[in-house]
Amino acid sequence: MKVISAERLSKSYSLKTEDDREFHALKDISFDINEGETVGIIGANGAGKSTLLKLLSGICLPTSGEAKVVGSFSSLLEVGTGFHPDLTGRNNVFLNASILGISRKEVKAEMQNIIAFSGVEKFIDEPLRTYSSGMKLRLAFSIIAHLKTDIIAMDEVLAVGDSMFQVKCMERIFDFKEEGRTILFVSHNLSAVKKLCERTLVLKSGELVFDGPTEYAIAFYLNSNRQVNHDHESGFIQRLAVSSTEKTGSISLELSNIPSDSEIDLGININTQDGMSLYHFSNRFVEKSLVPQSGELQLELVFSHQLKAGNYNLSVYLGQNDQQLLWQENAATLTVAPFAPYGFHNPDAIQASIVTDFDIKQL
Amino acid sequence: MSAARPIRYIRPKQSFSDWLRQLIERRETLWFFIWKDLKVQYRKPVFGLLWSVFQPLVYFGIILSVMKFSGRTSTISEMPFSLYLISGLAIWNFTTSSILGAVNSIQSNAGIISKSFFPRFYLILAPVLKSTFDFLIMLLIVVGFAFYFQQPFILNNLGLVLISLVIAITMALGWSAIAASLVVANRHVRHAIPVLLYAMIFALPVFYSMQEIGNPILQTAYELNPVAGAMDLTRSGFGTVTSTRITFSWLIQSFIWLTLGIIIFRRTERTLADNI
Repeated sequence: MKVISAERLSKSYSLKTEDDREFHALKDISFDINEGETVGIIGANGAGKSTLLKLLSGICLPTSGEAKVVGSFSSLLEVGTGFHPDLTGRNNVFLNASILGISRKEVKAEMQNIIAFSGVEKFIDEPLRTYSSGMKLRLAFSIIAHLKTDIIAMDEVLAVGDSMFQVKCMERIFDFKEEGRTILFVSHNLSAVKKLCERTLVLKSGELVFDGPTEYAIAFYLNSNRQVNHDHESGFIQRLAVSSTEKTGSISLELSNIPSDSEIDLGININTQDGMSLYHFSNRFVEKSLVPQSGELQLELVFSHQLKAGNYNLSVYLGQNDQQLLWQENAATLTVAPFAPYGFHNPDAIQASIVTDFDIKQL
Repeated sequence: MSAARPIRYIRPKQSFSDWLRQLIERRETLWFFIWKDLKVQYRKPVFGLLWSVFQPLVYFGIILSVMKFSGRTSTISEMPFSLYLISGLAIWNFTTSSILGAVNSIQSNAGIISKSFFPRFYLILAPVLKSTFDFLIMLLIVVGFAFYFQQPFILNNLGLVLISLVIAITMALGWSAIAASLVVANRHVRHAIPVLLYAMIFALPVFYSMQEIGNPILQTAYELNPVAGAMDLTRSGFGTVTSTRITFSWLIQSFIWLTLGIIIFRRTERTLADNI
């Protein structure tokens, strides 16, 4: 049974600063979602993912097109929407739930569970301003965790909180899935999308460019991304070369057009093809200062690694005076040439990206 | 999973009946908005009560002193000046705090507006209904004044007094919706609104009566202002004020303002989350 059917949904904003130019946040998006499906939505920043959720939840109205939503729908664009510092934790549960469209009766019935799950029982009748940010987050999440709605749409809800919290979130989302709810999951975390969703929509500049099995969707997204990056070479990176042997790699980087000659922050991540970060290097970790001269800088980074043969993506962060200058995903590809880790004849049998020395003894 | 599932259509324009249905369906959220405001204000009940009547009482003190010093009459329209003044201020304060509340509610709820869906008209309704609560407390003070001055209540005019409350609330809603829409359309209007609202204390028959104004043009201006009407009709409980012939006209005018407010606000809310 179809629970969401969108037909040629479009959303454009007129830009007041430029004469009569329109910005198309979404262009002719059509798709159907069946009951119980868990659908990922991925795409670069500004691709229209949030706009799509906002249209489906009624926050914004489309410029043209139509969608039909069957069943109760909650969109979680933020945890703790509408929390008021002067009200008690308990009062805020009612307030937040009401904004999410949950009735007082339902909240009352679930109140004990919500409070128990949040782990803030002792403070539940204290004003929210006395809570730590972690307590607020746990309370907010506890409300979400007890949602009874048929369809749940989430926009990067996982992006907040520490890793323990994120694990707990993921577990609860899997519960939702098992309960047969329909889930829309917007995320930049490709491995989470891969784990959770069988089907994924890829948005690019407001258009639906792929709709199908998640594995293909992720591959499609990463490939299309790489092309974009080559088309619009960032003005900062003049040269980025990567080379690697079995155990060591080196990255040489030439930067120019840096706005001032104060110290810069450089971060380089080495990621798997599906976006999981394996290594993260930064000059801050080793307390090396990088100072450009008349906006230019050359550097070399040498590292040891334990990567299995294959292709890995580099993302580059560049910051100055606590401001981000550049964040480029898929800036280059690191290729580790085929070799036989552990001297094993069939490297494909190793189901991990990282290899390490080990020994097994029979005792 | 519930048996009867709601079906929602997402379209560029929402019909008025859908708008109204949603307004009624989600009413619990409206009560929570009002409850939140009241809860925050009345956390310490004494302070809450004090703040709800503080502003009109301060104005009462100032105007009364000025009038006393300038040797104005002590009765006006067959009732003590103090009673006349406080009843006018009650209506003025209600209208003002409704409009300011609605304008603030759009701004202070920007985060919720862009992150969650609820009928946007609640942003107007909640502050106006909350002000209505404060207004009722203010009316108790007006009744207290009447007792103090042993001014008999004219039971025959009870209907007119009730109509005056309907007009006052309808006008507050209409003007609040318009003011909030203007502020969304152009943020700078926000600075003009308080000035206009305070000027209203002089433009409305708060401390003078309509009969004192001989100028026929001004007379007409009052007849075209239902808020002035609400003031006069409230006072009709304590003395004969204006002829009641235009009561019906004021009532109709107030509903025209409300309709206008809803039409303008519905245009505004379509792109509210985009513009905020």
